[in-house]
Amino acid sequence: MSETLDTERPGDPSPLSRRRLIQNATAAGAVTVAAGFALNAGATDAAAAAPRPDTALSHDAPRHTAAEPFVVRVVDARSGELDIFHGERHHRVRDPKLVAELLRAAR
Amino acid sequence: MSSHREAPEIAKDPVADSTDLYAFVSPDSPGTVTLIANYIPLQNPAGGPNFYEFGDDVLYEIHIDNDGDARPDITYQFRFTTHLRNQDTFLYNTGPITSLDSPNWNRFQTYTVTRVEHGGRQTVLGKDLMCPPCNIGPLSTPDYPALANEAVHRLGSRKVFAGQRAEGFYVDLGSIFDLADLRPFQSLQVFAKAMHFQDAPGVDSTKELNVHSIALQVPVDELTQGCWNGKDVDSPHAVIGVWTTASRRASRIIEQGRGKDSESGPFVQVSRLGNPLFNEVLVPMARKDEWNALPPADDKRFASYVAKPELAGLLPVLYPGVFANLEALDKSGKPRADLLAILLTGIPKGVVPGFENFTGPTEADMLRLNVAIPPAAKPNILGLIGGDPAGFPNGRRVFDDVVTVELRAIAGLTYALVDKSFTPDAAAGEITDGLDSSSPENPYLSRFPYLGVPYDGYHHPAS
Repeated sequence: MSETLDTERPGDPSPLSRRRLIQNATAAGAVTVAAGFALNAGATDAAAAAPRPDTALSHDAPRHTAAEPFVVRVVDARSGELDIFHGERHHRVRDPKLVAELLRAAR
Repeated sequence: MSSHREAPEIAKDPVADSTDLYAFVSPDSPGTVTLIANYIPLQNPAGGPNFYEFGDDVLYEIHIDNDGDARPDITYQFRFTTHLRNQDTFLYNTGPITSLDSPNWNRFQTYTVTRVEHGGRQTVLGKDLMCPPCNIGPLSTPDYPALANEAVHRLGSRKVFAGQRAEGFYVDLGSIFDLADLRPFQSLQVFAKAMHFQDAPGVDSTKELNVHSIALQVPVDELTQGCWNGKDVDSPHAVIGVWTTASRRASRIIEQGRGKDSESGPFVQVSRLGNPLFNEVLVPMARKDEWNALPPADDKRFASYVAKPELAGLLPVLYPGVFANLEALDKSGKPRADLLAILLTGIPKGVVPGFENFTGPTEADMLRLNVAIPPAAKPNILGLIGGDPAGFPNGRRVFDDVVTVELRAIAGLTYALVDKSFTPDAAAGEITDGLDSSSPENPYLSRFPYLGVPYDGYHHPAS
């Protein structure tokens, strides 16, 4: 399991587990490792559709995770710290095993 | 400039770049306070084909502190949405825009206003509110004032407007950032003197340029602690602190072949503005972007730049023999208690008779407004140093000459308020960049949203 390093308010949802992270990424579509250690496991289908006439080009908050990239950043490979950005949330977790998997995938 | 492109990183992101902030008791509606936050600096009116607009991806906020801790007690949030009527034209408009629902207007913006109280309670004050178009020219926007009036929305006892306005801030940038040359006094400036420059009138660098304004007029008791609305200038509830911020999502992904980006994560502050010129003139370049990313409550870490401003040290060097008393003050090493009060804590009771805007010991750059002080019948653009307590640094009105006020304060004029043994140099009471509130071509309005009609591109094609 990931160890949360969040300093968010009590009652906030817990950060994603490694399993949920990978499930989210898989469900969202292609997993792309960007230069460096950023991993974008975003949903790209919504953005690929052309906007219809007389519709908004973007949407008011709160925004939904399904239409947005799911971004994981390796903060510190040695300690296994990760930043997870999804929706309007940010979690920092420690998961050395997941970091190792991500770094392996990025090679 | 006040805060136009004032830091290296935000200068690359104009949509999120706050330029000026105003807060004043409304002269035509004294039971209300008007708050105006300007963004998107230095707009050439001939902005086609892609005219200026707010960022759908930016969270714009105006914050109010009413208990002196430099943290927001009330925040007004503004989120914008851009709409495109016709996917098959390159044009902003396909005919004259004579109303906000004109089918000729192809690309328009709406917005949502949300009030957030300390503790998290959120109230949507208005949504799907229309912005006006940019002022294009006599063929496309034949009656621009009528369009702008249509975009003033009433939300109960409040008014709101978001859209293009004429730049109200006037400054001789070309001269000031050429080694602090002030044209009216340049025969005394060391480098200008060597080149035999003669004294000359100031030149308004922002003349005929536009900005985008977010303006809100709300009842006084909506902003003060305990809904206070009295006339006691010395009441601890009479002063509010105001600042604006712009924030972007933490993560941005640019995907190849899409022509647009996508974002995720929480909003992260990238721009901030309280007092004019604070970040621009006082904070060193290496720390300006850091300052933009922090809340006012953390400004203690920048207080040393206020206590010993770099410009105060430069004036005696650049104008030899003109600022002898300032030079002695600089060399004494005494902290500039006057500037610390004006900019970071507010002016305590007893310094200026009948006036105070002190918010407590927390050092924070906020625009401090004592709402018990009524609007002036005959305003002085020099505000408090001109004998008009309804003007800057008691909040800021759209026409206040903040450049001259701050130049004179830094030159030592206000130090005598905190040290009666100090005599300001004669020049400290005279220096100016040579501009005043008549410098902008389009006049200020006497009613909300107070900033003038924006310049159109047809008549101002080369601003």
